[in-house]
Amino acid sequence: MGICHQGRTLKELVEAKEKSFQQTGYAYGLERLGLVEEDPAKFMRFQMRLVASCINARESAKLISANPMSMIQGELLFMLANAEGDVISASYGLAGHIQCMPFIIRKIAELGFEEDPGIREGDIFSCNDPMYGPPHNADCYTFLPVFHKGELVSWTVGLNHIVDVGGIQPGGLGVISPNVFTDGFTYPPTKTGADFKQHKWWELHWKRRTRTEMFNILDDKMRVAGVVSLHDRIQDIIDEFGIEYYRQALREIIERERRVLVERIRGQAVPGKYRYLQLSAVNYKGTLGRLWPASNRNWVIHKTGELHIRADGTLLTDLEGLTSEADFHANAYEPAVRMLTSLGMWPMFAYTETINSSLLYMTDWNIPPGSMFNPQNPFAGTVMGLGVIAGYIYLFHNCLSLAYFSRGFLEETFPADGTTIGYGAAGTLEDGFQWAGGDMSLITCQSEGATPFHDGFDAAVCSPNPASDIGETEAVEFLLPTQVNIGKKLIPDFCGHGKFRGGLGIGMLQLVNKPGKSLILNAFAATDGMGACALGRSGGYPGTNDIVVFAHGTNIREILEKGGTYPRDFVEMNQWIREGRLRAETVESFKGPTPSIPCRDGDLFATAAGSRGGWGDVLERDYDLIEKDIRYGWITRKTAETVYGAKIDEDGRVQREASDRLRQEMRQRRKERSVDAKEWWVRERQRVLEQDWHEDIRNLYADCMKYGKFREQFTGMWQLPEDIRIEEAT
Amino acid sequence: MTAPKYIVAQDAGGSMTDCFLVDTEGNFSTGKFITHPEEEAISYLGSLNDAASKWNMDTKTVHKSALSCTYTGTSMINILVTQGGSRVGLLITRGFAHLPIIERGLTWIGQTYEDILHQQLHEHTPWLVQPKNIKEVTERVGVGSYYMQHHSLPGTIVIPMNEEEVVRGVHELLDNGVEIIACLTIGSYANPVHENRMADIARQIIAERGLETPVIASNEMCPVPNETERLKTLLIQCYIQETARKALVSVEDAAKEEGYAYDLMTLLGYGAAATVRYPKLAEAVASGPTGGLLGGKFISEFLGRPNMICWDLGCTTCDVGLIAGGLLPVNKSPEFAAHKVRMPMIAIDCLGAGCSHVVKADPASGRITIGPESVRADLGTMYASDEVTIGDIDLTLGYVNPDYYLGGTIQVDRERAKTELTKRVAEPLGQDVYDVSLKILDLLHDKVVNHINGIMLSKGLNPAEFTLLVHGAAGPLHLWGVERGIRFKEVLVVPWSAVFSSFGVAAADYFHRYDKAVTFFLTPDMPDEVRLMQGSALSRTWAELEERGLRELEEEGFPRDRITFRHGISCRYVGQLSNWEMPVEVGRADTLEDLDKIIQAFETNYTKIYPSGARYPESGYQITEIYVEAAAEKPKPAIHAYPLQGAVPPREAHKGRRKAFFDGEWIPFDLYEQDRLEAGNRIDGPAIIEHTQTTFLIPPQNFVELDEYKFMRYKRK
Repeated sequence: MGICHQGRTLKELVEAKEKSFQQTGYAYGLERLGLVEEDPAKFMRFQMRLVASCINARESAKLISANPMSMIQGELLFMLANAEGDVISASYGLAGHIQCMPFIIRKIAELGFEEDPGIREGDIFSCNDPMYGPPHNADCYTFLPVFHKGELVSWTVGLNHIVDVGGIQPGGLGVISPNVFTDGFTYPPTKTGADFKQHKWWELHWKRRTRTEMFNILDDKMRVAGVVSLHDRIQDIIDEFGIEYYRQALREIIERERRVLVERIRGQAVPGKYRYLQLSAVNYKGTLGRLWPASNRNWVIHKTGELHIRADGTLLTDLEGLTSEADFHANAYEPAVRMLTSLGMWPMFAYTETINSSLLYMTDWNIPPGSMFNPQNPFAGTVMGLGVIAGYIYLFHNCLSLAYFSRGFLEETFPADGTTIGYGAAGTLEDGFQWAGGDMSLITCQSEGATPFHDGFDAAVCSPNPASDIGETEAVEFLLPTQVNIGKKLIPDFCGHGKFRGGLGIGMLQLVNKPGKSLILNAFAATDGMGACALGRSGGYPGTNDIVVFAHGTNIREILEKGGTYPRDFVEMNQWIREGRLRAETVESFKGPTPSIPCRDGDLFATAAGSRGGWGDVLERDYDLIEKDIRYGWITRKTAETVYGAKIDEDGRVQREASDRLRQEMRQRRKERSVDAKEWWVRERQRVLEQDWHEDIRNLYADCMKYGKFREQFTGMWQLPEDIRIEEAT
Repeated sequence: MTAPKYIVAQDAGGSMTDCFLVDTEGNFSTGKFITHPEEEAISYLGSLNDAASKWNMDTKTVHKSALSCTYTGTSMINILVTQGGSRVGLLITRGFAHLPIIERGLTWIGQTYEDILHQQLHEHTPWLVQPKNIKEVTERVGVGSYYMQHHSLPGTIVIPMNEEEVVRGVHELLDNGVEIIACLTIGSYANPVHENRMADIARQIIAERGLETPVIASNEMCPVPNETERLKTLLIQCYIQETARKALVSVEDAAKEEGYAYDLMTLLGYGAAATVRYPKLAEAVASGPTGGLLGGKFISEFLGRPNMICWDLGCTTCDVGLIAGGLLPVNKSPEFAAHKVRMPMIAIDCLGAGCSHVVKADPASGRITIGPESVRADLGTMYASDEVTIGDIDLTLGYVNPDYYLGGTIQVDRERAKTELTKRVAEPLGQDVYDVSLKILDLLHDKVVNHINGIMLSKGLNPAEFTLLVHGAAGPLHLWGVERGIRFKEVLVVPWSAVFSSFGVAAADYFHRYDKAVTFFLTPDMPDEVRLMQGSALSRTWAELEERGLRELEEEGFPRDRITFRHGISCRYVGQLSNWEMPVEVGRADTLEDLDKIIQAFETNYTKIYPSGARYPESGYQITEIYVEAAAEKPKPAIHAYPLQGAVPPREAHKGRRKAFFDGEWIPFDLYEQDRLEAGNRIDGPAIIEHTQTTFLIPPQNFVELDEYKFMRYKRK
């Protein structure tokens, strides 16, 4: 006798759900939406009641938290799922997590949790292990069953991103971790409480297994407070509408919303196959030495994807050709892929007041086994697979933008890319006190890419959180004793140029202030230093990459004591060092994540989030827009002339005739520089035949050629012998 | 017998200026006039004239005997909307010049969740300061950290200020012709030394150049953390203040010309009245919806009902506010016209679901939406709009009298409303037009119910202990739906509910509020002497704020001995990022008992909201902010009591019957004229009480009793 409707077990219920969709193509086999048809207004009222309950749970519980990521930066979500695990409604917050909950419930059903440890009223379950559904171990899930007269009818779920997970690098987003044993505190689904309270032993884990016990304990209290209050509200709603209505309506919500999403795609997109590629780097060589020999190498990650927009409005994303799993931090499982990539779906077609799991029923994925997002090694490291998955968020922005642009929906085009950067910090102060923290300011707010009809707005959007928010320096510094911001600003020229240009990238510069005995900083969540920066459209330039620069052993203290001033971003800092205005013993630059870098007092630490691409040819940019950019200081005179072909006079005006002539010359130079495509192909083919590549690139091809589809395309493009072999570099 | 004295209060909205005129006996008259945003004195006099003429008086007579005139205008909003503010110059910490442009990335404030997700729709607000008028200054003040006992204290100077840059910057700004200079340094809430020095240098240079350009430092406005919110508040102050003050002074001039003898007062966002000379006048920017809640507070005190929910439903407003234990909760970081500012404002939630909100149905999915678009004064297809609205539904169902809309001053078309509703909503959904209309009202009512429940939940309160006060032009019409969803202690409608906000303006207290960020830790392992040391520092800070209040109120003409104080704190467990504000009995903490009382006040408040598992006393307490309210006396309206008559209403009050569609059937409703009802009358549903400005629907299951003040008490049979 199971705990679900009509005595079924949870496992039977989940299986029935999946079977009915496979057989009919409708969620829960609902060809007809009886409750919606009968009384749409009552249905809407019911649905909005659920949404309000989730929002209320979040808005009151979040205040308990000490964690700025929850509080200011919004990575906090409360959700209601039905017994099968489909999320029916969610609060504000990082909505992608609705994609994970169905996987968690399927897993605990398969594991027989109903029998052992049992699922009873008031039990609290916790999970952050990516193998069981959560996207990575920094995202901690707390969930509670909702019973009605002994029948499991729902789950209330709360989750948030915690400050530190206790991995080998401080923070929650480490970029070095060869396997699960170095990922940090990772717990599979666990019954951690009863009678609506966590067990006392659970708190000890936060104290002993993570670096930031206070934050993590308050976060846990926050999640519990939210799921318990949501549980109580749901009981009231069941009492009001009746259990039969409740059970059926939850299913109809999923099918009804599926239809809304499918219609949006059908209404706006040209169907077809759209390809997308990003490359990024994982650099471990020399970092882990002999301790993990399989990790003593670098990888170029081949993030390829093909979006099939089907005529019926459903989507298939094919990842064949993705880099294989490896002994690094960047592996992930399907729920993580679905969770993060949905961030590209919200703005493009899935925007709705009533977020739920319906996306699962109209988006299919092909993720080949053995690839890094479908690892077969049970101990694969996953602490920051999201960093790589992030590239695929923008597959949706870019492919759907093209599909909408082709149909004339210019205002819906929204080409974007991940050019964000955050960092973790940990240290021991002079008196021996140990601390750790992190800063996501440049992850939670970026500038937009250009659209076909206007420049990208500055500091206007955020990929991971729809409600962009760069946060407050005065709040962030309160968590990071050693970091003093001396610049948080837009960086001139730092954008994808074009007829319309991307918004300007945002940079921060920090002075390391009295770190005491030790301080290490490590940057994460960046675009990994390669072609991940947003491509330009219709001839526009690509966006700029994000960047991290450390200037160690500077004389900045001396300069300031003498009444001098400080640089404000990495461009100024590098320039000052070049000009001798600022001295530094060493300068380390990274385009992408960094290992843990020790810092001393007076070091300067610069980060900059890049910007997205331009739209259209730079030489077609309106002179008035260029004058405006000069007036506000958004582009330099040099860029105006060398990139845009606009000569600027002393008053900041474009000299129009001279500029017309310059543009003519630039067009001529382009012609002279261009090469016949055939010649280029012959030359490049020779390189391919000779395998004349950097070892990291050779390794990339050697890996991808294992996949039939890539192999076919690659040998086809270069007309190679079918039996060509590419060996890994040794 | 002495001649009567008057209190004048006006609430100028985007379309109409409402006037509430009351004499010392409690007799009142109301007036309306079309708002003239470009010359507010015209609509001020027009609206007052409308009210006075009902007593056969002119405005001069009123002004000569007026005890007080309070006016909340639209000028501040207009300045922001039309971008007609002052040319502002900004001196700011080097490296932060783009702060006003980056605006913390909050491009989505005020949007619906659907639009927030649809990021193509995100946009910044227009700049309040031009980039060429932003000058950077080398300096940095540290903010301290959680680990301050192991590292630096808040306010430690990390980089000394370069005064030459200040001098250069000020000259450049003045050369650019700025009209006001704002100063902000990071960390100034913890240590204002750089910011104040910056302002002093600027003032000195301005004096040397023989100019009168005002200079404002952010710590004078709001000495609290979070630089973007502080900057936004400072810039709004600089951008709108002087222009807005001119508009208010022009209204005052008009009143004084007619013999009004005092300062004109206006309403601040936290619900206080202040003269139009008040230095931090920008605090009036968000005072729009507060009038209703202040009216509620007055009624709450008058009737001795400390717990009250005020619900205002009008054409474009659907606001819910709360009075708990006699206190108006304050939101310290309110959002206003897509700006997020740091100034105290009475917490009011705007739900965006008024009678002019558009109703839409999507046949493909069966989804029904109300708002967020509103047709405002065009009302709906019944009048001047092509969109179907809640108002169309009210008319179609027979709730509203088409021949008595706004007392018959405008004619609305019931047939058209019904036809359009059928065509656009009922038919696409395959529903009967009347059935579906009722259900859409359920949706609207449920939105309010969900919201009230949400507020109650987040504060740990029980609606059964609260009085619901309903106002706004459409409040009494939709009361029944909300009351069915929540059981309140009692439900109340006042006879002047359509101009209730202007009544609230008249009822506002005169006080100033002063907030200050502080950092006091009380941890379990802390020795008593350290606790006491912090306690006395807390007392000193309160005393400083009191002194500031005394000084300012004295300048405004109140004798020191007539000024009283209220005190409060914001507190949290050490480590938490949010804090909870609560009043304290005594604004002193000189003994351990005083400190315990303060902590106990926090604990009581916290456990009311959250389960006990969410407590974390082991981590200790942190007091993050304190406030002082310095109050002076101000004339308040009186409420007239009438002799109680019998339960049966006078015959002339009964206007006949009208059929309306209710609970799935057409039933006849008795019609009454509100002004002809008497104290003591009982009206049994089904009934509709009509008034020139409102309609009150009473279902068959309910009745209304008029008490001695003619307040209508809505009850279940």
